Order: sequence, then structure tokens, then C-alpha cells
Amino acid sequence: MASDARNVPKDTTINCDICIVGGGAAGITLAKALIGKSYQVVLLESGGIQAADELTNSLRDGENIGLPYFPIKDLTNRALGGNTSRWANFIVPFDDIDFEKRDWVPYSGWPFTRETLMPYYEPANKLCGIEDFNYDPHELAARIGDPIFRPLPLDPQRIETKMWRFYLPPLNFKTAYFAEIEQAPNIETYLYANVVDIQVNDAVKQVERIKVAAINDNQFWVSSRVFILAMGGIEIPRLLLASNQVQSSGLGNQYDLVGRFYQEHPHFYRSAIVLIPEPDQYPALYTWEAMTFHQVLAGLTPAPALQAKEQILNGSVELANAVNPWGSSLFADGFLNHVQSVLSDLRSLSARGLRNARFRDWFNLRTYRRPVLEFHPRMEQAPNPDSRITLSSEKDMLGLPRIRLDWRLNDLDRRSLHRFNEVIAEEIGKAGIGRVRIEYTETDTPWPPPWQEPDGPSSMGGWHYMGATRMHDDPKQGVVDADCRVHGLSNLYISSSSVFPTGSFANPTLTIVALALRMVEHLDDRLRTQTL
Amino acid sequence: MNRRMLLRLTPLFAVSLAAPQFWHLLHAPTPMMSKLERQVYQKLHHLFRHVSSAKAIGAEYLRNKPQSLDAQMLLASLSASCELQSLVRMDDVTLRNWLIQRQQQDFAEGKTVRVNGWVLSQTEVELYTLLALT
Repeated sequence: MASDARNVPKDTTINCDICIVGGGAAGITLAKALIGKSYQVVLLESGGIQAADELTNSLRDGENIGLPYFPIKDLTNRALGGNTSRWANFIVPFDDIDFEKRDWVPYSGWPFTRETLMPYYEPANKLCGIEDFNYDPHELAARIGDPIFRPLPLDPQRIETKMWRFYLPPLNFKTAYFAEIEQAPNIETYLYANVVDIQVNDAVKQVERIKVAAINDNQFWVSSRVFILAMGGIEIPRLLLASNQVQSSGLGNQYDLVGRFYQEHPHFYRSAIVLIPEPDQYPALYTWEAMTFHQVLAGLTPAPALQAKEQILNGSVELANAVNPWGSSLFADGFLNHVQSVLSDLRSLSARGLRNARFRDWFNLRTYRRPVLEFHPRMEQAPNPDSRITLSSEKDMLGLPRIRLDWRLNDLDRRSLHRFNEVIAEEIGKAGIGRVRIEYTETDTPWPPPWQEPDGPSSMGGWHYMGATRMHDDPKQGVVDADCRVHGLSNLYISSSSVFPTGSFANPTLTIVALALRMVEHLDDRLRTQTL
Repeated sequence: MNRRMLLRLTPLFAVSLAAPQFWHLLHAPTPMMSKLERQVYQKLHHLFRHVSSAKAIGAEYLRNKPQSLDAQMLLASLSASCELQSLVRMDDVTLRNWLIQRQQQDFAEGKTVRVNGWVLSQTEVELYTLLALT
């Protein structure tokens, strides 16, 4: 059943076994997995079923004092479904190495291996709309059956091909699963319900209740055996920091960790370009053509051996057709044409054949294939305690301090991108596919380069908010433990990418959903056997 | 123009068409080159339909190169793994394949050179520079 929080009798207390705060991918996954169980569940969503009204949206604004980033008010979507109502449905699991402690990546290492998450990846994959858990590039390419869609023959000890899967059109978790949740007798959903405070007992060992406010000045309380924060990687640290009546630094923040280690997947548009003179070498599997027509997309990633040898981060490069390569100012010096000409000469491709290929490609509106493609890297970010979310002195209309975001990258981020580009360039040359021109240099300033699309290099995040309530067995190094329970608080859990200690190259949603499924199993065991 | 005049002009016209193809033979190699080096140079030159492009890349490399280079040094480097006599005996296809293989080997060994942002193999840059120097 779904109710409107604006109509709940003021100052009443709703009792339940499990209270989920947030109705996005994590919250809906949790609620769906709890359907039919013997627990009374309350799901609180700040927005409504459709896109939020202007007043509700005003709650999410904040300030940015760090790297150029998306407007803070656009980071979250206050409506059922959360950011799945506007995502691109990129699905891919993390690598083994993403869970490991890497000596060259400070603060790396999850409290468990990928093996722990594997039983949950497969059902999570289905929830994200992909029936089979298959990410083998050769098998997925074989399904397409067109040789132009094939993994590039690069040295797997240096550069691997990873695959994304897609459900198109992107799957909105609200549309797919909320009807089922709404009909579940053990789940009550409250819309327009904004959590503004978490109240703990005097010993700061247990959450007693949370305060819910609606934008019409209504307010009420929810008391529960277990609380799960699932409002996303921005709002969760905000609420923990703001809930500071008993613990002045905020809940879970006894070691000043809440809000720190904020990570993104830095996106760098056109960090390099690759010239591929022979049309039959065109890497279609790595372009949006594969995504659009075959619901897969390949990316080049640094092999684990390369990451260790070069001491760099994980990452991925998608190849995108250059927009108007000969018309762009980047190529005005004609140097691209010189490189293209000599490559063609040595490969015995006639000038006439090349001109024809260019002509055909220019006017081939079906595929937009071009002999020049851009690197679009999406990098793992180095965990960095100075990259952080804090509270602003400004408050929203419900009295909750707004967030202040200070997103930062460091030298490891810079070196990783640079060396990754270089190794791909070497491998593409070695395989005889073409030549790469690197657009960034390691000494470029400012770095990362400012947003300049479409006519120059640029950088931005990927709408992936990770790390600000990181997971670690040691409370001095993490906000939550391996079960995603906030250290020191027996009944407060976090289900979000904010618990990721490191962010991989992979888009976070599949891993968020897998962690949520794992959490339900953990809670099921715990609630059956322990008194909270 | 009558027919006799046309016949007289025809050889001149043919020479004018063919001359650019052999222009490099007249002035290209440096005087210091041996006959063998000159033959190798000519074979390499012959591989390119777009000599001006190769020269442009070589010139760009030279522009940012701190130390001086000459054609003989470049030829010596190019022929490090294959004697000049062998190179001269190669037909165009074999020579082209040998160069491609060397370039790929360079990439495998990290012997790359950055020219105007492009990551090129040492072999190809030496080749283009040789053409630019002469």
C-alpha cells in the first residue's frame, strides 16, 4: 500500500521491523526482496510516484567548492525509482582486482572478495533487466554474428576487453517493480516522506526512531528494529552528518570518516583519438553502434597485470566516432591527414580507395562509422580523504543543512589516465590497427582539463556517487562494516554505492543491487535469530 | 598547332609528366651517401605515394629534436636488424612487410616516439625523418 506522508496524523509513531529510507534502485530492491516475509516493512520516499514537485526538488540543492561538476540539485532524483528513472542502464560487475588491497592504491581493499558477491550478482543482473550473467566478449560478439563487431586482438596481459550489457529502453525500477511492492501486505510505502533526523539512544548504540517531515509542515516518527539508509551516495552522508544531536560530529562519524573519500568515475572526453585507416578494422563493438543495435558495449580496460606493473588504477575506454574530424579545429593543421596518408601508403591502400572510404563514411548515415574515433575513458578514482562531502551553513526548507561537495582528483588519477592512454596507443600500434594521438599530457594545466565539449578535451563525472560512507572492518577506517552496518550502531545499515571503498571502472548499479540482495539475506538471518 | 608540331612536342610532354617521379633521384640523397645507401634510400622513397606527408611528419619530429640527425645515422638505425644489401634486394611488398613488422615490434618493445601528440614507432619516425632530411 502507498500513503501520502502529508496526510499522516502529526507526531504519530509508525512501528515496523525494517524501515527503508529511499525508493531508488537499492530501496526498491530491498523492498521487493522482503515481499512476503514475516517482517513489517516501511518504505519512505521523498518524492512521489512521478517526478517531484518544485518544492521537493528544492530540498536537494547544495554548493560545490571542488572540481567542476554537475549542478548539485541535479544529482538526485526525488521520486520512486530514483536515478533509475534517468539512467542509461549500463550493467557490468566489478573485477576481482577491484576488491583486492592494492599496494599502489592507498585505502584500497574491500572486506571481502568478489567471490562473496557472486551469488548475488546473477539475481541482481536479472533485476537490472539482463537474463543471463554473461560478460564474455567473444561469446557476446559471436551472438551478433557480424565480424565487424569483434574484440580487438590486443595483448590480454596488458589490455582487456570488458563488456557492458543493456536493457533498452533503460529499466526504471519503479515501473518494473513498484506495483508488486504496493500490493504486498507486509510493506507500507510513504511518499513525500523526508527523513530529517536519526535519533539514537543515549549510549549511541542503537537508532530508536527517525523523524519524517513533509513539505506541508507535517511530521511523524518511524520506530523500527532495523533502519536502512538507501537514499544514494550524496544524501546518506548528509543525513548522518546532520543527525548530530547526541554525537556532535554526526552519526557513524566518530573517526571523521563520514563524507570523506567521495569518489566518482571521472569521465574524460577525447583524451586521445585513434586513426584506423582500414575500414575492416573498425572497432564497432566498442562504439555506441553496438549498444544501440545489439545491447552490448565493449570497453578497453587495463589488465590486472598491467595495473600492478604500472601501479595504476582500473578504468575503461569506450571508442566514439569523432564528430566531424576533418572540420574540427583539432585537425586544422592537417597533421591527421599526413598520418593517414603514410599509414595508407605502407599498407598499400590506394589513395583512391581511401578517398572513397572517406566519402562513403561521411555520407553513411546508417552507421556513422568514421576512420577517426575518440577515446572516452571512464576511470576508477583513487580513494582520497580530501575529496569529501560536508555540510553547508545553509539549510533547506525542512531545516536540514545543505551539502557542500568538494570533489578532488590526485596525482594517481592523473598518472593512471595518462599511462592507460599510452599503453592502449602502444597496443593498437602493435596490433597494426592504427595510430593514436594523445590529447592530454601528464603536465597539462589545469588538470583535469575544463569542460570544452565538443571541440576539445573535457572531463566530468558519471553521476556515480561513491565512497562517502566507506566499508571497512576497522571502525577507524570505515563507516560501515562488511555487512554494511554502521560501526557502533547495532541497527543502522547503508545500502548504497556510498559504501564502496573503491569504485572500479564499472558502473555502480549492478553492485548496489547485489549488495542490497546480500543485505536482505543477512537481515533475514539476524532478525530471526537475534533480538534487536 | 599542326600534326608535325604535336609530334615534336609529345616527347617533351611525356618527360614533363614523368619528371616528378624521378625528381628525388636527381637531388634527394646527400652527397655523403654511398651508392648502397642511396639505393636503399630510393627503395624506401619509392614506397610512398604521399612523400610530402612523410616529410611533414619527419620535419615536425626534427623541429623538436634536440640533437642533430643525418641521413646516414638514420639509415644505419633503420638497417640495424637487416643489412643494407638485403634491403636493396627486397621487392616492394617484402620491404613494406618488413617495415610494418619492425613498427609493430617497436610498439611491443615500447620504442615509441611522440610527434605532435601521435604515438608513432621509432622505425616509422626514422623513416619519415630520413625523407625529410633529403
